[in-house]
Amino acid sequence: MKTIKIDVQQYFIIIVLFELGSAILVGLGMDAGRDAWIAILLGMICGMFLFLGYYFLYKQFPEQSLTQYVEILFGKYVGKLFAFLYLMYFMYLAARVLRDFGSLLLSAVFVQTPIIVVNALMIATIVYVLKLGFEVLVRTGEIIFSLVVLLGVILAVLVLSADLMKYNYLLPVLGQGFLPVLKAAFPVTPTFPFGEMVVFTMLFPYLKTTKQTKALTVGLIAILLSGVILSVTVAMDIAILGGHVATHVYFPLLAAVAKINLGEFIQRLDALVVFTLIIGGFFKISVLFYVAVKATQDIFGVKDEKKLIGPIGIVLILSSIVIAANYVEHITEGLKIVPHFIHIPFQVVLPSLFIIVCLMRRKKLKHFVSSPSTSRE
Amino acid sequence: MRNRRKRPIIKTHKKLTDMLADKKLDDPSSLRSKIISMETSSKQVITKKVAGELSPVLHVMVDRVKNLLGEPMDLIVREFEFELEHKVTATLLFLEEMNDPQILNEFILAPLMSLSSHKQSSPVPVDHALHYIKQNALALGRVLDVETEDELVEGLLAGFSVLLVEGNTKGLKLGTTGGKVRGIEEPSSEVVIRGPKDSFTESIKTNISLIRRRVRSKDIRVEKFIIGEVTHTDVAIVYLENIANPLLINEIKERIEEVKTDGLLESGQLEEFIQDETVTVFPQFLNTERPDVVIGNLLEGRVGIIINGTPFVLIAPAQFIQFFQSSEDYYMRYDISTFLRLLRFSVFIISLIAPSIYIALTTFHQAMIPTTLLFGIAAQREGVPFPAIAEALVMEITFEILREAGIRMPRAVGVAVSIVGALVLGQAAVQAGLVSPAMVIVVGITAVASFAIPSFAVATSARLLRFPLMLISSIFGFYGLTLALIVIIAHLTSLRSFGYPYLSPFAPIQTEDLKDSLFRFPIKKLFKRPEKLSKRNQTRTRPYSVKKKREEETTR
Repeated sequence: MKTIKIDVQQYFIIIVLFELGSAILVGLGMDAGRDAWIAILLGMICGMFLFLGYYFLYKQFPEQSLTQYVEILFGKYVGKLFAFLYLMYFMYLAARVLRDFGSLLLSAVFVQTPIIVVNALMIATIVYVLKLGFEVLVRTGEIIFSLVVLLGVILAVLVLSADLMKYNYLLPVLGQGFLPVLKAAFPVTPTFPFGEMVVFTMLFPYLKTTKQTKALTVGLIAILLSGVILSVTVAMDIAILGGHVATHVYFPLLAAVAKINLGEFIQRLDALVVFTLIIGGFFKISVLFYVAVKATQDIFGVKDEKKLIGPIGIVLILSSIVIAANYVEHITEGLKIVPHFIHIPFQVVLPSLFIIVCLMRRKKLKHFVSSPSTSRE
Repeated sequence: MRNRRKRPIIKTHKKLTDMLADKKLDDPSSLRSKIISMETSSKQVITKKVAGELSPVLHVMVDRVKNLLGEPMDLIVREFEFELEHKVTATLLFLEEMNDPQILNEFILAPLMSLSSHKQSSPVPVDHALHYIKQNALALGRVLDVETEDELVEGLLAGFSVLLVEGNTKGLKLGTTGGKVRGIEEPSSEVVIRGPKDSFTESIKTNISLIRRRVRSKDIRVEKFIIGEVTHTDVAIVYLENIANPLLINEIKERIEEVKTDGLLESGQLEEFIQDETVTVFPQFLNTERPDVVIGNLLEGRVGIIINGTPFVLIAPAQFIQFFQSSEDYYMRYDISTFLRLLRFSVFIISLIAPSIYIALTTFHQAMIPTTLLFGIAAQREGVPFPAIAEALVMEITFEILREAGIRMPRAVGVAVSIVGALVLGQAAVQAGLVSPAMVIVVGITAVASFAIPSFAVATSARLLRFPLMLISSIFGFYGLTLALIVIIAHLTSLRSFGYPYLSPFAPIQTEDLKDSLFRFPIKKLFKRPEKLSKRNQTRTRPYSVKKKREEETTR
């Protein structure tokens, strides 16, 4: 059954790419004004605690994914219901990211192209890659990762040498006190992108390590790294654009990088950013897509996962268009409704419930759990 | 009838044991393919109703051979006599141009004809004559017994000469192979400035000798196969026993033995038979004319496949990055090698996506072109009635036509082609307003770039992929281009050459192997062979310590 294997460094790379994917573009925690970077760090710390929770569940069920162990916890019918809810959640997330992404491209480049074409092309690419296997996606991720790192370093060097940053834009730190930062940080920032790590509860079983604790340490390091990158990026955006502008632009990174102009020669580097955006979006949607495929496979007992890829792809294309009537609606939903009513239940409430049930039924479950975990050690 | 059918099968078994005893043929696996070919030929013998055994009567035998081969004009039948106990008649059969007349005359005919009865200490009966002359008269290294007609005919066709003696039911196959072959010349497709200047030829024997001469290791293994039911082409695999992975060797052997076809003329055909993935534009074998390249790869645990009749030797498994490496990289300083490797790789990228980038920029992302340049390009394109994609396609296809014409043209006409290409299609097309000058530059860069890739095989993949990339970037700009590149990368990571990931050491990452990939570290630091290829024997170089010692001495 378990055919795919992910090794530790690949796991690290998936987390970082997944976290940075779309988050690096949109201004995170911008409600906190120039202190957004602090809000991100706070969000990251919360995200780490969430991750600890997911890791706890993994530790209890090292051989099963989320949609499999809910059935052990709650029995076949209730378990299947929860699994199905999660499937919906993963697919909704994938559709959302796809919509975000299509809208950005539409507004930036393809003004007259229907969004369905742009989204369909993306899904077609992902379907092709996933049909080659999840391992191919992961290994492609390795190459993409080095590319993204290279681009990141180039951009950082250029930004520094262009002397665009005015550090006094970041001052005073915590000018309005701690409250606005806390308000911005909770509950939105931990849920996106850090809380989306709940996706990895589906991927943990494929991790190939000798020690389970590695999943924890490497995962935490990856979250820390991506959190710091996000925070530094946002701080950079603010230092370049100023707190006011940065909070009101849709894509602060794009705006900030567009300002680079070295000797009238190196300029308009937004292309590089758009390139990373496409790559990041591709990767994030792919992971969500694959997780949705896996969940479907578990719930409906489909033997060949490759058969599911095409149909789910079509569902994703259509739902990415149906979820909102227009971009404004989509964004408002994303900021006001999704974090409170969708992210928090699925990322915090339900996993906590699982943990509690797991602790309560520990003795009863022992015969389910103990044998694989001891064989692992 | 039943009796007859049984006979040849028994014969083949007998022959098998003989061969095994002979040890001239190295392993049972190659015998298997031989048996198959023999069985088919023995079946033919049955249908022709000719017994497989040799006849002791000379002229009957000669007639039969002539009959089997269709009385060829180049079959020479030389009858002669020599003296043992009494006079013995013998016949030497050979195909004229396949044998070396000097060897035939000096080492076979001359000693045999000078045999006379008084030289022998004891009389030799006629039926022992063959054994006697094999032991005493033939000054030749390769002398084999022949027992059946098929063997005899096969021997003749393979370039042996055959000696038959009246009254004997056996014959002798003499290794007098000769005839004109191309000599060892400088490689034509892989020219280097520094490095060995010899290259493989069409003869498999020469090629094996070129390799053996450079590797004086007892661990080098050469195993032969015969492929092609009509051509009977010799195929040999070469590897180092103590380095190469035995599983890989078995896999390669199995795949080669599985090939059933009428003829094998070039390594490209074998490549297509035994490659992992058919639906791909990327080469899964490295091919080379240079012995030093083969040996370098043997040392890394790879396997060389030599095919008789072609100077191109295959190397398996191949990794993508190898196509950007040249043997010269190891003979020059590491810094310049690294620079050249990076250059070659970027050249590949340029030849792949340069036209697509131009199309995407001018069609969708004009904002990204610096303003002054944008004005320039817009002014150029003003008079051009076609969209950028049409312009690009016309120019690229024209270039491909020119290139193909340039290869097939007689040399004298080549100049005309280049003039037509440069003047008419470049200058005139611009002046006529068919294409913009910028487009000509882009196509020019692409063309030159594609020639700078050291491997022709991978240059062709760039050449093929260029067109779909151009199309997609004309529809979706950079977005389409990026996605298409992701698809290409994913396709590359999914490829395997004999089970080894094609994109290694990049995906999956192998840190130690990265030292000799896009970069080449100083040779003193390349301690290990590629990790997955040579699990058993990893150490390649030991730390070099002369400098350290000297420093210690001076401080003392």
